[in-house]
Amino acid sequence: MNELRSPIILGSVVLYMILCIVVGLWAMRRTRSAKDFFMAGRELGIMITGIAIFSSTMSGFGFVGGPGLVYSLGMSSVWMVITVSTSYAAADFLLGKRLRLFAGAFDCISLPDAVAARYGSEVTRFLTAIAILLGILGYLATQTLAMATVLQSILVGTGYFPEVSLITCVVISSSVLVFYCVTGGILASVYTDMFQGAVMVVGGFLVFLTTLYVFEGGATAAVATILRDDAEAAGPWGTLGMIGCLSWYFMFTVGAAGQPQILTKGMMIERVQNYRWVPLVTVLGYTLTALLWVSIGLVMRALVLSGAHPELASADAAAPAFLQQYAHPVLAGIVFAGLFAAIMSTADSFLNIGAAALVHDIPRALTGRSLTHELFWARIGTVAIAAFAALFALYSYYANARLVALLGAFGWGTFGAALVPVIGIGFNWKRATPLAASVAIAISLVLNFTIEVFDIRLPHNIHGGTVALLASMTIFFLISFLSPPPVLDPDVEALMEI
Amino acid sequence: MRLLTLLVGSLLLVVAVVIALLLTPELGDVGGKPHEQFSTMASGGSGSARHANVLWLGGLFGTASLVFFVALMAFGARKGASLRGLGRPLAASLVVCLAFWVWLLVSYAHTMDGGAVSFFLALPGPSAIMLYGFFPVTILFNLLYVIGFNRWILTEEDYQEYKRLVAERRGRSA
Repeated sequence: MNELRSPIILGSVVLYMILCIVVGLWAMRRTRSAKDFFMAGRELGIMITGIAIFSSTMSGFGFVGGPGLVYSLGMSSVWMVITVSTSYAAADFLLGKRLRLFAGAFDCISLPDAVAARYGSEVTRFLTAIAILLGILGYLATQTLAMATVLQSILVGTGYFPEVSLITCVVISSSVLVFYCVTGGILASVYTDMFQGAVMVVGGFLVFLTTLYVFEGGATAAVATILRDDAEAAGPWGTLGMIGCLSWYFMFTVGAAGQPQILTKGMMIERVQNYRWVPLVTVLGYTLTALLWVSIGLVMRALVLSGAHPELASADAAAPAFLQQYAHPVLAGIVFAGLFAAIMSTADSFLNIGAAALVHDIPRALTGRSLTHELFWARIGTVAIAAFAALFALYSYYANARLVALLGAFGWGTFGAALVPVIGIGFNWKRATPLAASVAIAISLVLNFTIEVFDIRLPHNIHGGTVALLASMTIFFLISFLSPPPVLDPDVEALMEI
Repeated sequence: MRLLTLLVGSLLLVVAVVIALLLTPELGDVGGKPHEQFSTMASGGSGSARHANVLWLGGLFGTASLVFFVALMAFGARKGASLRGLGRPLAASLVVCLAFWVWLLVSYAHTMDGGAVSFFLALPGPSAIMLYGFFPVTILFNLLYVIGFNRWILTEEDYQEYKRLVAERRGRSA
């Protein structure tokens, strides 16, 4: 069976891509308006909403970067994983119901639409759309590069395509992504998320079971090996240290209430009462998938420390090395397909959200009305953003390797710092003013960019995104308190009282 | 108003703790150091050397963060000034989380000087408390949302009020 490993992995990925294309064609027949394209007609059920939320949160980073972080830093990044409960709880309590009520009452088809309705301000809509566009470009370029890199390693590994270039792999993987996103919009995205999520959960759980038996003596012996080498790596803070871990915990928990890929999905659920069950699906799905993140990282670190496996070329090679050498070929096929699924399910969400910001919100903010033939322009916008992200990814790969990594890391913190005060707090607090919202977005962008671009390391490894988030929330409260109370639209006021 | 005070107060406490941390000198290998043998790994070194002067501030950071998270949840769930009975379950869940948080801190403080470590389900004590204790109890907040949705988040009366409002809006725009 082992000699069939490469063909099985390639076959699984090809089958997965064909399924994406079929879903895109199916969804195309159901996408007749911009509301269908961006909001899936606001007709999603519980399971599909829950799975779409967790699968778009767990990106390729979780499948490749996550195990790499555990391999490299020990238990530190587990603090990112365990935020799943508090982060979804904070976002659900703050916005689960509220955003869906606004979406239904004001017929919003994007997050900035809801922001404009809440604040009655086109400036705030514009700044929200800009923050979203800046955030997604980094995320999308990272995902594009990750898809192409994984595809290239699979194709080269089969021996049939030893010379395949990264550019060819960018073209192939981006074409599949763009095809189903353009034809079926968010409907194709959430339905592909459905089986993408299923593949991720099954793959994550089976890999976890495999890791229990790979190290001689089992999981306890593996962790004991790490502990003997460096007690801190196996301790609760890993090698990063206590304060760095806690700053991640804070940023990932609070920042969830500013992630457009999460919030927008909540606006699409058919009945607001059904949102009740969504947290069960998201928390369970994410936790099962994250088993892979933690278990592969620990086992690979122990294998290398014990001399049972040669040192990896890079920390990010932990998951691919484990799958290639220790997982059953069929399981490796499932997980490589799951890896593609994780990357694509994040990328498709951002592509759709970015297209909405570009062709719906920015024109509305600047001209006061929507474009004519909005659905047509939505499809053009999707292609344009995907092409830009692909070019940006390739430029970064060949000319400036730091660019994509920088913007990719920048994403969660950018969304969190820019949008948590404006949306998370602002949709629950009548005293919040448009001026405070606009200043909070601007300050958060400046702070995040400054910290990332100048590569500023804060004492005790406090994450820059945490500082930006704290600053933007404090300024938001301060300006709101100092400004005259805003005059709210009576319907907005009534909605905020429900 | 009391909830807003709690929210802003806990936010300011987190801000104050982070500022204090930024001003506290770093001891030892705070963020870890390269592994002596394997270049793709880091190692943490001595826990007591790098955490001695920030352990209590870190404890306060975690405590203030948990209070702030719960304040955010309460702020989102309130109707007017009332939590409609959600206050007590939320506060009780917070107390349970804080208890596990303190247990984690105490357990780590006892082992960071190289004290004896016991294993539970393949993890050393402090990490086991984090993953099998602290993490599961934070799921209480998700369960509160699911179990109490119809009582605390969106009651039938809330929904009827919403339907009326939407119908009025549509009537006005028709």
